[in-house]
Amino acid sequence: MFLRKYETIVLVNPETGDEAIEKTTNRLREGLTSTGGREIRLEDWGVKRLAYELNKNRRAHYLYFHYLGTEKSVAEMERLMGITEAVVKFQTVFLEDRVDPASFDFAKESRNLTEIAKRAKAKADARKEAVA
Amino acid sequence: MSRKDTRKKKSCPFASDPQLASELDYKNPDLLKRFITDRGRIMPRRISGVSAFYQRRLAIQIKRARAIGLLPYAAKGV
Repeated sequence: MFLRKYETIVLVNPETGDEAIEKTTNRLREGLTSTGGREIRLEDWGVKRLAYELNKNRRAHYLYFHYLGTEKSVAEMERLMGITEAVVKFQTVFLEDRVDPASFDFAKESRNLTEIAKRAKAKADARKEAVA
Repeated sequence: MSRKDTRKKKSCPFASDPQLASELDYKNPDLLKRFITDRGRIMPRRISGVSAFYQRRLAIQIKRARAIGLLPYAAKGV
């Protein structure tokens, strides 16, 4: 059985607290496992400033979910996000078709993402220092 | 026109730097910001010098970043 690789970004209302974040992540995982998907990585980016106002709010709590799944997983997760009140917005991007979960190296993919995040952070810090 | 063109030919920042091209992603708004105007519009190729190949990809990433609030939609007014 081949799966498809996706990534989903979920924006949660920052005023709803940690409980809402936990609820949202639980629902994401539930939607994925119930449709036979496999999680690669779930990142919490914390509260970020939005470029424009959403639901009268200038900030949002970002969650980043990277996984293998099917069309059904995406539909189910988006349905669950739709009925989670704290969720403001979400976007799923399709990354790769026909991934074989048996030979897929989950740890390696996760390490790559860590490297990318590290490099991005180093760059951001360097810029901040240049300004200061 | 008889006047000699003295402008320097712009080269595409992505075509000449594979590392930069690999960072072209909607989750990297700091990079994308260099290719939008101060009002949030996507910069035309004739200004930024990006090749047609990368301009197509760039536009898609900018639009994705806009959808999740990482970049602004074009500001109104002139």
